[in-house]
Amino acid sequence: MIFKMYECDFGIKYNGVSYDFTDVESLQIEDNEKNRITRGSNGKNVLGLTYKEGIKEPKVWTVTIKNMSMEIKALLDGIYKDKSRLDVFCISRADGSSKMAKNCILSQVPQQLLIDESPDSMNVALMFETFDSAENMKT
Amino acid sequence: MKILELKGLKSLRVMNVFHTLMLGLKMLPNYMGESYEDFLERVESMPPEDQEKMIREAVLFVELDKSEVEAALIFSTDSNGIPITAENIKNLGPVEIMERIVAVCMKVAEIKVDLVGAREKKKSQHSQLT
Repeated sequence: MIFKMYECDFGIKYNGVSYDFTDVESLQIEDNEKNRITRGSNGKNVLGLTYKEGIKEPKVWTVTIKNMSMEIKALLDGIYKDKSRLDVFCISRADGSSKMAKNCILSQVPQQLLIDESPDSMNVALMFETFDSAENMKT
Repeated sequence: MKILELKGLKSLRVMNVFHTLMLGLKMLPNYMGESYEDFLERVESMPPEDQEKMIREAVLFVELDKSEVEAALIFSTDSNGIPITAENIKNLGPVEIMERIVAVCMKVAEIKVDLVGAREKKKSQHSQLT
């Protein structure tokens, strides 16, 4: 299942320090885990057998951040290179609900989207993978 | 915490911060009798530990606006070596903010700026004598 969010704030937590980004273009969370049912080829079992699919595949967070500073891009490049762990979170501006993914890795090198941007700030696409994610609905 | 080299537009703003703090401190009853030039000269001639004490006192009493605080903080870094900007400023408590402003101002205090040129100084000494 693919979940998309546009009006949200995004943040990462690395080495005890949180970095909040308010200029987020979009966030996509891809969750491949699902329950399925199957049955024998005679087709007589109306309940079927349940099983879980996709538990070996991580959840994938893809986010595009605008106006990221050069220093934070360099930090993320280092995180990618070292395969370090970090936590990421997003908060919906519409209803305040939040999603959090712990112990993520950066699965792709942080990509600068346009090469002619100012060296002081850039638009960067990030892709994270995690097995540890949680959702908090605001009541 | 590391203090970065004072360069770029914000470095001028951070000099404003230092002088705002010093001017604010000078306005306290203890220092009101001196002219700003004399006060600044006295602060600059102090040993670093006394300068730090003065700056710390100024940070506690003088109100800085948001742009001044941001200008001072951008020259200090967090534990990951990233300059303090809007992204990571929320991690800092009041003491950490104060320590950073003091550290940056200590660096500004090393920069010598003559408020009164040599010619004016000579003129003023001459007029005091006559």
